[in-house]
Amino acid sequence: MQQPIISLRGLRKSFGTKEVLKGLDLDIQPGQIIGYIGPNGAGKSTTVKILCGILADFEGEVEVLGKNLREASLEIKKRIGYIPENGAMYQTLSPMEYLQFVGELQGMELADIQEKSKKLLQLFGMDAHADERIQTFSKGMKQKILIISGLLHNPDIIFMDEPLSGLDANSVIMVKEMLNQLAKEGKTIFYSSHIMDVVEKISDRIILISDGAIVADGTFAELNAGTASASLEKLFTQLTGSSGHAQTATEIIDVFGKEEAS
Amino acid sequence: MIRLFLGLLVPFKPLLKRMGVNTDQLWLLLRTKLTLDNRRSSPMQGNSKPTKNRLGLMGFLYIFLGLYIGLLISMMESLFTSMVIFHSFLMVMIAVSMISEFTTVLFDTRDNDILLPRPIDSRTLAVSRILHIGLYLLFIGFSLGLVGIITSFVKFGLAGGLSVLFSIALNILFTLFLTNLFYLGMMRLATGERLKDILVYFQIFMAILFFGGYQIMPELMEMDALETYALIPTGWTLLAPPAWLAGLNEVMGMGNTGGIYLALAALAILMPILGLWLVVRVFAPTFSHRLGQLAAAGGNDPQGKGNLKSDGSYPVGSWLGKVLMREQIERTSFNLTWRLSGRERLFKQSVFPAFGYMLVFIFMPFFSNWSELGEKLVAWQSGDYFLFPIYMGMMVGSSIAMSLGFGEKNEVDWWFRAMPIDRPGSVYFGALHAVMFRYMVPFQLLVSLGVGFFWGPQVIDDLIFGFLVQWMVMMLQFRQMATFPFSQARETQQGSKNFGRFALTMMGVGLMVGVHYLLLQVSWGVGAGLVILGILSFVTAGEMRKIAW
Repeated sequence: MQQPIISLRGLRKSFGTKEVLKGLDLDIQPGQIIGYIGPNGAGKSTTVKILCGILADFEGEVEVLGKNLREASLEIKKRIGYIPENGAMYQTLSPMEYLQFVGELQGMELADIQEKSKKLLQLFGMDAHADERIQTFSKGMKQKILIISGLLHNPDIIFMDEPLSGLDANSVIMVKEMLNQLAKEGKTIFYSSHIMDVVEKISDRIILISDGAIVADGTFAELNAGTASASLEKLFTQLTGSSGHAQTATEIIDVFGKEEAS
Repeated sequence: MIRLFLGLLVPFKPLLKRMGVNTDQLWLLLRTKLTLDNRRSSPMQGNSKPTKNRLGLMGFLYIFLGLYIGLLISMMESLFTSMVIFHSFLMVMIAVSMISEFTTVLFDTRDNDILLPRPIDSRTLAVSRILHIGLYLLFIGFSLGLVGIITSFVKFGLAGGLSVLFSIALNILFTLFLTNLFYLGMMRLATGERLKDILVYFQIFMAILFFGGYQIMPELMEMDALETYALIPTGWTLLAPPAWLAGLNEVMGMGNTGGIYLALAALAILMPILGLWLVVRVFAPTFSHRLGQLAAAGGNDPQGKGNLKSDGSYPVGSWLGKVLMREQIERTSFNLTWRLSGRERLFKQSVFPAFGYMLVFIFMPFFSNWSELGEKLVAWQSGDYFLFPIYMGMMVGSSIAMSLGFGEKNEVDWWFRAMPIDRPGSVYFGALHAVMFRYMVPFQLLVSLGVGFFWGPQVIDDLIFGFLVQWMVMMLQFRQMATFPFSQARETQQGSKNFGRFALTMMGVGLMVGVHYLLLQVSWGVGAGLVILGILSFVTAGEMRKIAW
């Protein structure tokens, strides 16, 4: 076993009286794509935000890149990238300006930033919009800028929170392929999402959390072995205890059915 | 402008470095933040106009706003008295403009998502925030005070001028302290959406203050008494912050150390320092803690839940809808618009100031020449002056008709188009009448009561005539726009078009006032006019309901 690149010990986090994370223990190896799934409100985004240093007051021990997150957060932050969902950006800047800002904060050289930004914008098909204000962009275009801004400084770990939202089919395929290649290069990708079939296809390891605790952990094959579910989706419903979807669906249809019958 | 700001900070670079601040990152953060400020469209403009040099424009506006106060200093004999007025003005203006313009920036918790995952140490981040606010306040304070500073140098000499410069800085510090108190109090009371609503009211208050101030100030300046008026500082002035600063000006500028001035000057220096200490040590941590909670709570706004009932909370609206509207679609549109119009911020931002402007107009005549007021009232009562208050409601009416189509999210247009609606006219008709009955009619009734009380019952036909004119003008005006309620994004290209429409409307109203005046010259005039106008209005209403896709 290698030295884990991310290690959580008894991670707890509460908002007011509501406990969102109830003691997570987790070791993550480098060079893997981790699919992090769970129902709404399970604590996915909270975990990612703690690991990126956005939420500081948590309980338990967190080590990233072999360093304690509380003590060495600056060094860690230089080597991680964060791609949020519907992320905040300074909307009145242009992509070039925003990427330059982000790059400089990460301590990159100006010439390096400009060269890489230009190239990445071009590869994402955004070069025509490089000098327009971000506020005029569609959701998918904004998401592309967020992805670039998370990758620009060539981080060792990439945290993604629903990174594909709003992207068109071609971009989704491209990003998925990109993630695979990044993992091959030895980068670690922490991929939080609830789009099951994407997670099922790209993840080396799937971690399912529900109500602030880990309920399943392993490769898709391993998770499947015990339950013989055909897809991650089925497994997900079983493990998060929200069965009876068919019943609910029938009841929904009945709401209209009765109306017409009468 | 941004370069100027950052240039001001260069001398402090070594000091900041010694404090352990990463100055490269600090400069980068400040430059970016100021660029954002420069491009942010002002909430007071209420549109999404892409601005490139907002700071420059704002500075110009603030200098202009400070013009009268600056001139007042040159007119008044007593330095102390003029400075009390000057500092009071600055305090109110800095506080109000900070709250209305800067709060969105302060409460922008999304900032955390951008900056916290990046390698910035907490001290650099904190310093960048403090300096950002500081630069902004200095900018507002000195723009507002510019004319005052210049007049002080001219009138009171070098010492006086310098003392004003120094006291403005202290004023800013103390106002920052007061604003902080206000923020903490407000955060205790409200979060999230409710907070944004409170801010809208502040912006409206600000707009009215500017407008009213600039109507009334010139009148005040003509008063002879003001020139020689002098405040005598007593024990009570020790409780008034502007008096402290004015005391400091008196001591520094005039060398007058007598009486209470020295005590005032001491307070002027000590209190802002104490305030700053409190802000840094006590308020700022509490503030960021609360802000963190706010961000963590995210969309879970406890106050936004459960207070929107579907029916019972709008008894008047529902009842009016039932009584006034004939078709079901009109009724639905009426009810929907009645509800939304109290919640759409953009709509409130454009319509509510109109009420304030009118209040200013109503009370304006009373402010000029107090002594002749009695005679004027008698003169008004005998003449046809009631036409003025009757048609004043058109300011509200017009802004209602023009703002009804605009919303913060321009995504609801499709919804109306997807609905099985025979004629969009039904929706327009219901929507326009909802806002008309919710906002303009109550106001018009109030005015009518006042007018009827003052001029007697013989003006009842004039009141009805005036109301019909305004009703018709609003319908015609909204027909021009022909948009679904709150469905359009406010675009700048429309700005000139809208202004054209507004001007046209006002000309139309002016024409009708002329007609009304002519009708008054004949005994049966208004009666006949009422019949014709009544028919015309109902035809217009019928036409509006029939507007097709």
